[in-house]
Amino acid sequence: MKEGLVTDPDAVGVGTPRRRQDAYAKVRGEFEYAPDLTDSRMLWGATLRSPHPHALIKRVNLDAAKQMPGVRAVLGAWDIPKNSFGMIVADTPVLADDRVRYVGEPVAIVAAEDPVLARRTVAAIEVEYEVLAAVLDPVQALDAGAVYRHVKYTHGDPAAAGEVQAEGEYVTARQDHAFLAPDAGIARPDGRGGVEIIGAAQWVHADRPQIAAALGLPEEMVLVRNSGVGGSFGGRVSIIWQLHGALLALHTGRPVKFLYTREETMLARYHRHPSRIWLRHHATRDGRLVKLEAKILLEDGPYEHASGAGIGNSCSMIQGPYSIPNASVEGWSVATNNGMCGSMRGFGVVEPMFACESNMDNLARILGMDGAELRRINAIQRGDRWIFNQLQDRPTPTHPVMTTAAAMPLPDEAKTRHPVDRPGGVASPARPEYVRRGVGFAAAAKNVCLSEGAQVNSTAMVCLRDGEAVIECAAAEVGQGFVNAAVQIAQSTLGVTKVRIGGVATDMAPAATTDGQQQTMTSGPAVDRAAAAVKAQFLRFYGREYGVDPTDLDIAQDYVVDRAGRRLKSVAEAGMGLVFRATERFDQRPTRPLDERDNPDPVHVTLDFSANRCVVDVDVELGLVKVVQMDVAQDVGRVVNPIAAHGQICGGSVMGMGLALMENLHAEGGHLLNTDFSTYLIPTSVDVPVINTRFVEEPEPGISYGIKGMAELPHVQSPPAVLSALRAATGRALPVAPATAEMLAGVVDSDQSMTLVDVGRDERRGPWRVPGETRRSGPWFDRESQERH
Amino acid sequence: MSDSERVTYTLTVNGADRRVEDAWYFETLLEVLRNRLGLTGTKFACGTGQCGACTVHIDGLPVNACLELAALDEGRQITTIEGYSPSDGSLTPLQEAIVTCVDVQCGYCVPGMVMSAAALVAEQPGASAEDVREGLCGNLCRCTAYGGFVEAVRQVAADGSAS
Repeated sequence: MKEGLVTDPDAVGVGTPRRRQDAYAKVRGEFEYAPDLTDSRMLWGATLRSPHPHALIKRVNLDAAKQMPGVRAVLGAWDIPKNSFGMIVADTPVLADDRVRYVGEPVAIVAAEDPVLARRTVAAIEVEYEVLAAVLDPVQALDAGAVYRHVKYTHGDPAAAGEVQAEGEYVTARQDHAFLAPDAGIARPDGRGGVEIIGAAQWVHADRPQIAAALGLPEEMVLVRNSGVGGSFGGRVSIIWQLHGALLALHTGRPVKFLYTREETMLARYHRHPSRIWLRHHATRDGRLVKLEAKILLEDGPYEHASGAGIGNSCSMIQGPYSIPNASVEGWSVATNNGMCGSMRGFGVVEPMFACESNMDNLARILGMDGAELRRINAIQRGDRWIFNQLQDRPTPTHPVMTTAAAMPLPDEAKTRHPVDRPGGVASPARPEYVRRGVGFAAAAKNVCLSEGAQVNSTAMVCLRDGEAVIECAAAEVGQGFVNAAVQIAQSTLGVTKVRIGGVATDMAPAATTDGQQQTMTSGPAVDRAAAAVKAQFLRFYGREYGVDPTDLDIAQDYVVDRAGRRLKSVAEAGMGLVFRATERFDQRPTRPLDERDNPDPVHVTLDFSANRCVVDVDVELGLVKVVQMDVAQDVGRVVNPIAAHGQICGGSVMGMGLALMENLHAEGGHLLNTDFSTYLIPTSVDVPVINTRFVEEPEPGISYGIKGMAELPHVQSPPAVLSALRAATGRALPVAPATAEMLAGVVDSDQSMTLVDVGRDERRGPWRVPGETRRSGPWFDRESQERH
Repeated sequence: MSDSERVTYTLTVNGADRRVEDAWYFETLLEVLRNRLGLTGTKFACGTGQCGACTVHIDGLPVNACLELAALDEGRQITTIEGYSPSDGSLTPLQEAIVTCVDVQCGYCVPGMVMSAAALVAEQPGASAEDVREGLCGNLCRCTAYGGFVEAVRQVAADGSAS
């Protein structure tokens, strides 16, 4: 909550809290999301899913299913022209063929006249499995050499040692995106042998080639159109139902709708990687970091998909926002049968930042230093070199974010608590005498834009007619606010207030994916350039028409103005009904793979920084927690819309708090146990703290208006901040996120010493054995799919 | 398919009688509203009564439509977001407060949030921010941190009119 921050329906341009125009339809229930799509002739799709984490498919009998009432198609792997797809590596089957590799893997699909009939048909499919041993533990996977990507590098002198060393092993859980709108949409035949797919996407231009290849069609015969997207957080890269819907639509000649249940949404899609990270920080006695040693293990699912990018992010960002002269880093992304893993807000960075910051707490304790001060004296500065051999050549406001967060006012200590503010919430059994307050601090860095050689660019068209501008850009609006940001940018650049933006489909020029906090700083400059080109066209026309030098003209608030700012004529009138149009492309600077250390290109396009001073109340008897307040200062380049930026920081911080305290999609024997919202808990209005935000604005060079991506960093910074505060309150080491009540309970009468708590059934500690031969074969993003198991 | 599984009945939705023909007897109110009556403003998100996205009013009380057997709702007054929203396309004071205080992100929770909040304001005029946080804890939002919603509802509760 921020005092007095409200949307303004009349605000215009960059830097204002302009109200989103889709807010009206959303608040009236009229905004159409993917699950709302309908077609009078449509069939309903349903999916038969594997009940086993690993099994051979011995026999499939479809006879009974094909005779069910209302059924129009029953398809299996044999019906698919090319049975594999994937975002970076195309190794995921569209439908399992002879083998299933995770619980929930699609085995067969049906289309029927009614959703109930479709699900009954699925139940009538007979499959005989031969259950095989499954890999359920990432360390076991590493031992077996089931490695998708192995990263290893050193920086400076790997033999350097510090007088003081802090070592720890840290674990983070599997987190689900838990966006509210389930995976859904409609695929329909286009009448010319092709197919149109309408659903929720974050990058239609990456979906299309995968879908076309699987269908055996040229890309031109597949149109992917974005619907209203009910949340994404990195989870809409999944295109499972889209492939199934397209197959069924082509097979039946009718539109087919899929609407996943919440359980299917959890089973069918990937999650944030569970991680185990071992770290050793070396420092001088006065707290200067000397060296970082790290071993990072990310659990990935049975298919590679986009895993390589995650471990690449982890192995670079493990450094945190600090300057460290020497390092030795190694990481693995490994295959298990515990379900799919992939991109989620802060992809591959939430995990190492939790480990890095937790171990910085540990180092501060060993040194007897204040954690915020330890971070401040080691903060990376412009001109420093990252351990992945990249010069930090962009604005680096690490000190401003740290000092700003640390200086924000603390909440009252002795405030009388309303029941919702007690640890455990309403009806909590917490007794006031056992409630202890803890104040923690964390800083964070996150790469902005896709890294390691991924091409990041967007194209946008701007069209001006009768004083109104229309933007066309295929950048997905998933809730983050790009549509509003794009309009604000066009308003500022073009000088007109009436600006609209159209929808997103693959028949438009490609735009960047809504991923890696890159959309506004990539598509935004494309919009800015197109708007600037249109403005130049318009003023040239005006100058010729009225015999004025165009360089003496400008457009402001819908009027052509002269150098003195006097209004000459309205844009609407002066345009004489003509159309002024321009299309421009913007490319982020190229990046290079992590292991090409001599390549002068950077690994990451740019990085952003934040700090969070977090206050918690913990019932140290029962382990119940109330996060009281978060004070967040973030490097944002330049704010396009302050209420939207504030909203991203709050939302991301609370999502990170979910991982810190409660979110853990448990895998037991290869089965995900908590696939609904009564068992997979996400923060409610009772759980949330007061969140105070401060923006540190140092414009990003080379980017229109100095914009810098900002939406993932809050999620990255929040889990270690919460855990840091919990450590302060309990005196425990707390190496695991989420820190649940059983890890926090029973602190009463402790001697304040930091003691390791049990991390669960797995007692193994320390660096893992380095596996033998891995399947690495050249740059990871060029790799062909490989057989496994 | 068995005829004994099919039922026909009439629901009173947003003040009008709506015939539901040949539906499965086990269909939830949410499924009937969305799939048979075309009222998709009420959102499907969890299907198990945990997220509040499908909140409607039945006889003035907020209910998770995904837990409600539609066939048992004959004779009750059902109000959905479509019926709550002014028919001239404008906003109620509560809706106006929400678009003012919240930078609506994905917005999928918003119709359910509006319906829960409307019931809360009617039941607890003058509710404090803490009361509102407790009252809205059955409505999950994954994008925001609830802060704007709480402030909007508190303001409307203080003013004493939600619709």
